[in-house]
Amino acid sequence: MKSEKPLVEIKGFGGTLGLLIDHTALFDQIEEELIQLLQRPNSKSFFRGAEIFLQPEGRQFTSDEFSRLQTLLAKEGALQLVNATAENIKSKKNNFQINTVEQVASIPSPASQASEASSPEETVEETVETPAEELSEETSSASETMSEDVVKEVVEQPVETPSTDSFFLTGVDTANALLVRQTLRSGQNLHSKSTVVLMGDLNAGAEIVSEGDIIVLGTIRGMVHAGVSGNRKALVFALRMQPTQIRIAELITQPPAEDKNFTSFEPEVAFIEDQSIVLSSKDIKNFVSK
Amino acid sequence: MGESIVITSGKGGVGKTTTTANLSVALANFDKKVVAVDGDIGLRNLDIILGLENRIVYNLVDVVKKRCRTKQALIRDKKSENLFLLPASQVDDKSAVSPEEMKALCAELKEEFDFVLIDCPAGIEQGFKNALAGADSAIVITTPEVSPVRDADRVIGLLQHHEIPASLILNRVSVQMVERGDMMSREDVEDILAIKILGLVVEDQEIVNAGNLGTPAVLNQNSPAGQAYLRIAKRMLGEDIAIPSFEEKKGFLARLLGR
Repeated sequence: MKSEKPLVEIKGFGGTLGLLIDHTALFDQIEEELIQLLQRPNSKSFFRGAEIFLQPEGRQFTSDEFSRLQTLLAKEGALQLVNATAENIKSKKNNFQINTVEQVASIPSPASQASEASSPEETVEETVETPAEELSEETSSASETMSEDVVKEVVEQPVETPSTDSFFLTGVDTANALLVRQTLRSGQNLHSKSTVVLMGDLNAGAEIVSEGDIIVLGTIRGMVHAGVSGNRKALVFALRMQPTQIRIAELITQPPAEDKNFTSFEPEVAFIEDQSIVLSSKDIKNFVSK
Repeated sequence: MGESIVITSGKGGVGKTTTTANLSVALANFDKKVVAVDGDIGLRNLDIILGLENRIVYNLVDVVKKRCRTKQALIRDKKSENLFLLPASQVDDKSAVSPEEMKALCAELKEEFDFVLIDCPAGIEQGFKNALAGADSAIVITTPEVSPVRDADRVIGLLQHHEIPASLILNRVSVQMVERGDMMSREDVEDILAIKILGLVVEDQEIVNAGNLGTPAVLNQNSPAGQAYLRIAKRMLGEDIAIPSFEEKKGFLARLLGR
C-alpha cells in the first residue's frame, strides 16, 4: 500500500544531500523504493559521487541494515552514505557559514584504483563519523574538500582517464585530479584527496592542501601543502612562485628572509631532495617525467 | 528603479566614507538623485564628512524599526537638491539591524533614488553582511599597501561568494613613493586583485581639510583627489574616461608644485 508521501526521498539541505526515510516503513520496502528512485533516468549521473546523509526520522537502523543501504547507494547511485547525527549536520551547516573547509564533492575512483584509495574516515572531515568496517569497497573514493567560495568552479575529469603510470606527475590519484578555474583569494582554501590543478592565482592568505601534487597555472602567493598525508614524492608546480610557505609531506619551507623581493619569473617546481624542499626551474620536463 | 552600490574595503581607514561622500556629491552634481546610507551603525562618520551632523533627528535604525517614516530620516544636503543622507545610529550596534531589513530598506530607497550608496563598516562581520545585503554591486577601496590589499582580496572573495560584482578604487596613491619604488604600483595591485579598476585617487591634503570642514573635495577644482572622484563618478555613469597614467599625473602635480 502506498501512501501519498514517498517512503524514501533524497533532498538537498544547504549544500548536502539527505536521505529521508519514513519511520513506519519496513526495511524491504525501503530498499525497493530506493532502487526505484535511483534507477530513474539520469539520477545516477546526477548524484554521482556525492555524499549523502542518512536522516532516518525516528527510525533506527541496525549496522547491518545501514551497510546494506550503503552498498545499495554506492552501487546504484554512486553515492557515499554517511550516518548523520543532528550534531554533524549542524556542524556542517555552521562550517558553511563561517567559511571553513567543507566537503563538497567526491569523485568515485575507477575500480582499478579502488585498492589505492584512502580509508573512509579520511574522506570526510572530522565533523562526520563513519564506522570503517561498514563501508564497502565500492564506496571508497577520492574526495575533495574546499571552502564554500570555490564550489561552483569545480570541474571533474572523466573517470576513464588512464591510470597514474601514463600521467606525467608522480602524485597520488592523478586520474581524479581536481581542476579549479578561478583566483583563490585570501581566506579561501581548498583541501583535496587528489592532485589539484588551479587555473588562476593562489593569493596570499589562501591555501591549497592536497594529498597529491599541486599545479598552479598562475602565481602562488599563498600557502601550499602537497602530499599532506605523507607522500614525499608530491610536487608543487607554479608558473610563478612567490609563496608564503611551501609544505611537502612533513617538511616546511619559506622564501629566504633576507630577500624580500623573492620572486621568480619562470615556472618552477618544488620537491623533496635530501630531506629538504628544493625549488628548481631547470629541466622541469625531465624531472616530472621521471 | 535605481542602483544600490556598497562601498567596502575590509580594512579600516582606507577611505570608504570619504569615497562614499565624494561620489555621492559628484553623482548628485550630475543631476542624479542620490542617497548616501551610513552602514556603520555605532560609529557613524558619513554625516560629519558631508557636514550634516547637526541636522540628524532620526536614523537608519529608527527607519528599520519603524519608529519613523523613511522620508523623515533622510537629510537633504546643504548644497544639492539631489543628495540625501540616511545617517547611522550612534547609540546602537551592528546587531540592531538584520540583513533582511537592510535588503528591504535598499529596495525601498531604490524606488525613489537613482543611486543608493552604502558606506560599509570595516571588518567582515555583521555590519559588513548587513551592508552587502541590499547591494547590487560593490566598489572595493584599497590603498597600495600590503595589508589593505590583502583585506581587499578577502573581501572580493566574499563578494564573489554573494555574487555581487565588484570594481576597485585605488586610493591614496603617492606618486613620489611609487616612483621611488617604495609603494605598490597600480599594476602590482591589479595583478594581485584581478578585478576591474574604476579609478585611482592620489594622496591629497585637500581631502583632510574637506573632511574637517564637512564639504567634500570633489567640487574643488584645485584638489587632484577631488577631480579623480569626479572622473570616477563619470565612469559610473557610463562615460569612457581613461585613468590618467602616472606620467600625466606627475606633470599635473609638478605644475601644481611648481606654481
